[in-house]
Amino acid sequence: MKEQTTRAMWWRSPSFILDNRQQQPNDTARGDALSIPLSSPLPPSTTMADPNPNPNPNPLTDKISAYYQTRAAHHGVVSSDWLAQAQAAVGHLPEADDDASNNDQGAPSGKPFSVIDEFNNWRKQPDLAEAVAAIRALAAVIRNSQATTMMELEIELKKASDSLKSWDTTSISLTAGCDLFMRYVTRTSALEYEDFNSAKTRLIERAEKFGEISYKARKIIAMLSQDFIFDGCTILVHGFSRVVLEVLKTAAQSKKLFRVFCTEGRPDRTGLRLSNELAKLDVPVKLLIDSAVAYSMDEVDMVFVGADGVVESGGIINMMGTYQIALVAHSMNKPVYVAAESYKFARLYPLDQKDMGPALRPIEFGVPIPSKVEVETSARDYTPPQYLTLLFTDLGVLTPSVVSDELIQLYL
Amino acid sequence: MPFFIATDSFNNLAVTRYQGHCFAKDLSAEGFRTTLITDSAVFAMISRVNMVVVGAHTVMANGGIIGPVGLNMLALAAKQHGVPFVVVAATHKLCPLYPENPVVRLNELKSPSDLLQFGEFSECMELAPDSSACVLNVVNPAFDYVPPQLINLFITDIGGHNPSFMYRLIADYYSADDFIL
Repeated sequence: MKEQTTRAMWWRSPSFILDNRQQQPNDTARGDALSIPLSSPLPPSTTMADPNPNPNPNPLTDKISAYYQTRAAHHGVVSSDWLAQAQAAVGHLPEADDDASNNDQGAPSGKPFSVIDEFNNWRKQPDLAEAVAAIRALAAVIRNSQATTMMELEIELKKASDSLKSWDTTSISLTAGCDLFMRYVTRTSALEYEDFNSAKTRLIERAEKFGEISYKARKIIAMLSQDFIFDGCTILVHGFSRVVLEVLKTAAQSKKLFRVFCTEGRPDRTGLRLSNELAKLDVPVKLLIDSAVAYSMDEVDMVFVGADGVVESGGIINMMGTYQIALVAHSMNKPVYVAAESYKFARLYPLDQKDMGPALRPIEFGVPIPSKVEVETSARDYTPPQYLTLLFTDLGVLTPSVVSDELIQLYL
Repeated sequence: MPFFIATDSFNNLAVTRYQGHCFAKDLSAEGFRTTLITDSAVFAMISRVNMVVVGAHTVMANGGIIGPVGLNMLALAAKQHGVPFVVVAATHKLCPLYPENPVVRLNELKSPSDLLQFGEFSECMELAPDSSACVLNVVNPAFDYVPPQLINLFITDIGGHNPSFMYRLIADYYSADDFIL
C-alpha cells in the first residue's frame, strides 16, 4: 500500500505493528473523505452528520484522526461565525432534567435512545471537555435504561461505553473518562441491594456526582494552582488548554501581576487563540514562534501546559511540542507544571514517542510540497515524568511519582 | 569504627556559631574518631567520604528538605561525587506544602552578628559619611532548600524511604482538608 512505502522509515519501531493493525479496520471505512479545511471554522454538527451511529473517524484517504478532527472542529479559530454557531448549538442543548423527564415519559415512543446522540448533544457546548460530555452521556444511559436487573444494566453501560470509545479511538481522555466512570459508578455496595430500583437510583446518584466532580475539576485546579503564580512572574504556555486558561483567568481576576508567553502552536494556531483570550483579560501576552522557546526560556519563571492524558509513569501526552519545551525548561531548571483533571489518568505506559496510537493531522505549509517528501503529521507527543515538576489535578497537587499511586486508587 | 567528619558551621536556628565544633566534641567524647573541617572545605574532602548523614528542619511535600544553610552545597558535592546523601528526619518534620508555594518562606535572615561584630560593622558605616545608605550589606540566611533529586534516602521513625515516597507519609499524617489552610 502507498502508506506502507511512505512509512518505510519507521519500520524499526514497534509502533509500526500498531499502526498496521490500525490500518486494517480502516480498510473497511466509509469512502467519503472528511477533509476539514483548517482555515474555515466548521460547525461541530456537520462533522457528525452521519447516518451511521458509530462513524468511523479514520477514512483511509485522508488519514486524519478523529482526535484532531474533534480539536479542529471544536477549537476552530474563534471567529464571529463560529461564535454564532456555538451559541446556537448551546441554545439547542437539552437540559439534563428535561431530557430525563422527556425520556421517562416518552420512552417507548420516539426514536430509541442513542448514547452517541446524547454525547454529541453534550459535546456541542464549546466549554465542555469531551470526556465530561461522555460521562454525562453515560449517566443518561443509566437514567434511560429499561433494564430490570443489575447485570443487564451493567451490560448496557458497558456497550454504551464501548461505543463511545470506538467513536474516537485516538482520544485518551475519552477512553480514560469512560473507564473511570464505569469503575466509579459500579464500585458501590449499592449493587448488592435487594431492590433494583433503589440500586439504580444509587447508581444514578453516583453517576451525577462523577459528572459534577469532572465538571468542577477545572475550578478546583484553578484554585490549587493560584499559590504557585506569584506577582511579577512570567509564564510560558503551550497549546490551548481550557484548564490552563481557567488557571490564568482566576489569577488575573485576583489581580495578580504576571505576563504570559504563548507559543504559536503551529499548525493549530493555538497560541493565537490563547493570546486572544488572554488579551481580553488584560494580561500582557507575548507570542513566540515554536522555535523561539529556548531563546526566551531564561526570562520564563514557569511553564504551564495542559494534558490530553496522564499516563501511568507520571508523564503526559499533550500537543506536539510539549516534550521539546519540557526538555528545554528542565535543562534551564525551570519548573514545568501540568494542569490535568483526574479523569485523564489513563492505563497507558508508553515506552517511547511512537508507542501510542497515532493521532495524525494535516499540516499546510502554504506552498506545494513535492509528493516524494514525507511530512511528520503526528499531533501529540509524550513527555516523560522526569521533566515534569508538578501536576495540578482535582485530587490535589501531585508530583509525577504520585500518579501511579493515584491511578491504583482510582482504578482498583 | 566509622570515621566522622563534622563541618564547622553546622548550626541550628537558635544557637550561635561553632555548633560544628560542639558536635565534633560530642562525637569524640563518644569515642568516634572525628575530623573537623570548614564548610568551604566540603568539596575538597567529599571524595574521602562514603556517606553523608544530615538532619533537616522540615521535609516538604515533594521530598525536598529545608535544612541549615550550607546543606545544599553539601548535597551538590555529594551528588557530584556519587556519595549517598541520607537525611534523618522524624515524621513530626513533615510538611504538606511545596517549596514553590510562596507561602513557604524558604529562608529567614538572622542577625549579622554571626559574621561581623557590631563594632566592626559601624566602622564600615563611617566609610561613606555623605550618604546614609550602608556601604556594606551583611546577609545571614538561616536555611537552605535541598531538592529531592539530591537526596538518596530518608530515615524516619517508621523506616527508610525514597524521597518520592514522602508524600505518602504526609497523606497519612495530614488530612487533605488541611493542605490549604
